[in-house]
Amino acid sequence: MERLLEIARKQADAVTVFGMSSAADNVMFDNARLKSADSHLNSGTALTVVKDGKQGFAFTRNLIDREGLVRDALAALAGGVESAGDLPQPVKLPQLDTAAEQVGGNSLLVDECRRMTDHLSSRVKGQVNVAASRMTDEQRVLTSTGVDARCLSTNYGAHAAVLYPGTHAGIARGFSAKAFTPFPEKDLQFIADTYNASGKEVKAVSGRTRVLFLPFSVWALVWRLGEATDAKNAYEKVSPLVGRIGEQVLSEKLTLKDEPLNDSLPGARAFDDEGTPCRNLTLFERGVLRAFYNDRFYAHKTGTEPTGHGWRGDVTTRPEPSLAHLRLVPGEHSFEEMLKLMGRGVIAVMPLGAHSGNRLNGDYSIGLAPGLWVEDGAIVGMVKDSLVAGNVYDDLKKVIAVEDTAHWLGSDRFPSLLLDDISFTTRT
Amino acid sequence: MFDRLEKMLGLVRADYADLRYELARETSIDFSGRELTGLSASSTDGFVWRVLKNGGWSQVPFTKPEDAERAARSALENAELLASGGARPVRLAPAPPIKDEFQPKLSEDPRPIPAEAKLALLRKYNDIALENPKIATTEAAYYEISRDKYYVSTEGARLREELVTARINGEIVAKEGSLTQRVRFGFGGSDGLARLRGREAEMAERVKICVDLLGAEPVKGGEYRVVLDQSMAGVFAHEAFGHFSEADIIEDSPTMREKMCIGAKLGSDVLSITDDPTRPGQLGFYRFDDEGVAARPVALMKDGVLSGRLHSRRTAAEFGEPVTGHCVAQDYRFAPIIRMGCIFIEPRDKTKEELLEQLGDGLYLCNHMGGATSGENFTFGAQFGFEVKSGKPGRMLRDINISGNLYATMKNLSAAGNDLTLSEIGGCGKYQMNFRSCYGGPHVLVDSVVVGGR
Repeated sequence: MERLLEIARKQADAVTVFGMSSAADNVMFDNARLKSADSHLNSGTALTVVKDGKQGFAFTRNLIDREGLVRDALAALAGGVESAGDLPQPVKLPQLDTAAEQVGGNSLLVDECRRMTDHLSSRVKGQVNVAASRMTDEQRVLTSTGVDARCLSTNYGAHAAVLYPGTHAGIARGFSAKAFTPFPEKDLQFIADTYNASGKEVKAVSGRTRVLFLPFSVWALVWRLGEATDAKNAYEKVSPLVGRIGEQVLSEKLTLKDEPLNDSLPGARAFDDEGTPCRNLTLFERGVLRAFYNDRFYAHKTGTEPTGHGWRGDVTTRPEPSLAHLRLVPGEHSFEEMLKLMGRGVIAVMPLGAHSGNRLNGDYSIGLAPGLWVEDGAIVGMVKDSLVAGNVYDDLKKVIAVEDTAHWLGSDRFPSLLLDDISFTTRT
Repeated sequence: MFDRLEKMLGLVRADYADLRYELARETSIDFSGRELTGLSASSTDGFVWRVLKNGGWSQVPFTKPEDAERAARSALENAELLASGGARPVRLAPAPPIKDEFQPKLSEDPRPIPAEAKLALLRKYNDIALENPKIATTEAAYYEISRDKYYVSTEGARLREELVTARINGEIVAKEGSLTQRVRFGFGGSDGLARLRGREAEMAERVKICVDLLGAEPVKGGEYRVVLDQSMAGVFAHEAFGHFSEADIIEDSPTMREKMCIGAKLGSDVLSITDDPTRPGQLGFYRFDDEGVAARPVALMKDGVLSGRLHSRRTAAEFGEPVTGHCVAQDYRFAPIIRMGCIFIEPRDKTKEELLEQLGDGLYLCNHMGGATSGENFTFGAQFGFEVKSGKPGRMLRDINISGNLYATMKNLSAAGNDLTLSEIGGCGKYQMNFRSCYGGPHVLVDSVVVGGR
């Protein structure tokens, strides 16, 4: 990467090199039987050059032809893409604890999956699917201003689900840590208990009702908030939150943060993919809008400080404002207490079609896969062909309760949310 | 390149192994509103091992040729772990080892055309949207990928195929007061750049729809009879039915395998569905899949009766059915999985107007906004729709998502039109993205769907 930087800086005013490499293993059990064990070895390099206020970008997987990569990036200058302003300057970054020793081979993953499978199969009659994976990855950002930031991360994750007959809908929980850790017993118990309580298909009635959004469905709502607090959408004046910093937008029960520096969880980062130092950012504090997040380009366009949210999906893409460490702050109620508070209504377990609808406007209309019907504070069965719909800026004002635990959801952590007076439609 | 790959193949002591290498060239150009936010052209490559040993089957993508031995060792260790760990032994259905090279016919090869010309083309479409004062912003992108694929196997296959895909797509955002509405647009295919030219009138129509949506009303939730346009019918064929036709989706579900039994009468008499990657001129065209099998058309449903299934060599052996050539990878970073190539509902004889007349009162739903399935349950969005009274479309509606059960909906599909249209933009996200996933259908009448609404 240093040689690439040297070659590029001779022909450009400023240069950023981003490199990544990863090694991963995945094991899957389907229908309680070992199904697959696969691995991958992946690497890549992205180059951004700046000249006369314009930027050029190119990437490659296998860094053999450095001159060719520089040629591609310089050729892209002809497009006239405005640069993202000044590159970051080197600063002392916090030392984060992001890596742990990965012990054991893939047989360890197989043994853990088998343990989870046996546990669930002994308690439920549904189809049991489990998976475990682990990854070691390294990112490095090198700039012509002297930034040389590196991060080595390890991640172990496991996922367990019990599916209803004839569907891929079911009750699922996931878990992650920096290194192998047995899947929590309480989560296996939740899956089995919730599945066993909801096996019977019941008919419900369309109308406005209380809805308990489980973490996967909470993600569908938070996705809308994430788009609205993207500095890009604020800059283009299409976010409904433009000009509303300091305004009470959501229920005061809701605090939403992005916490890249929280290294108690896997995936913490001290710098983003542009080399900007990361910082924890509160987007909504007790329902009050506090901040928008940006990358260097939109910080430059809006004349604000970069927040350290310039992430790439891969080396093939340029950095964009993104949220990669979201946490909805837990409340005070256990899951059982929330069911009692709910009384009657539907549980939105997994969202189907969370991406569709007018997200920027805050609208959602999601299928329930499944929906669980609740009467007198207890789950009585599952409902099919059902949707909940609304607008997050109306519905997230109607929070009755927030669960006391934030659950794993990829790189995010969300508790369940109990909302009042939500539109629910089902086949009659 | 073949000699180099075959030398690498010699590193593996297994019952079967294959190796795919791809050299890709990607060009992308992006606008956010009037702002040009990116332009790049890059070259990249990668390898994928697949190994079968003692019935254990493992796949390892890797980037660097110097990692070939390490990756092969991982694949063999994984295969041995599967064989000893109780996994169902894998067999591969027989397929002749083909030696061939194939280059697609292109109407205006995009590769030699300078990026500046592609930028000008994209800017022209973007400007059509931004000229309208009610359009607040756009996301407009040009994306082109050419993949030069080499494939060798221990059975003696030696294949090379080039795939060239180009598209212009994005989203238009209209704003009035605090209300924003957005509509997608897109043109593209795998038969050359000419397809991207001369689409100004369609772009203008997309802008009009987006602006009209500012005055549309949110749909009222309930159960409706609906006419689906070709885009919605296509997404039903792909999302709700098509994924169930992929053998890997149902192979480990005893209940789904029982239901999706060849010969079962699952749909109405008017419902016939085909997947045909070899159909010329459509987005999903290819000749050989990524395990060296020649693609062929598969009649998945004939007059409501399940008649075929999409396979890899592994699942064809597992189901005891013939190979179909549908095992496809997104690109050099992925092992292949079973994918639809070009799935569509076969047209019948009715015009759109006749279908609306047959509908009487209900909804006319247009332009899918993505879909998702969970087994037999599906949810799809529509970008807009119309209330229909006495066969006449009236008020425009927005915020539409429909939900249903695959089997009930296939029986409720009571009429099909004569106006088959295939999609030009793919984007199936089954484990990996497939930009070349093509789908379509004619207008269809469905007697009952659940529509979410406020």
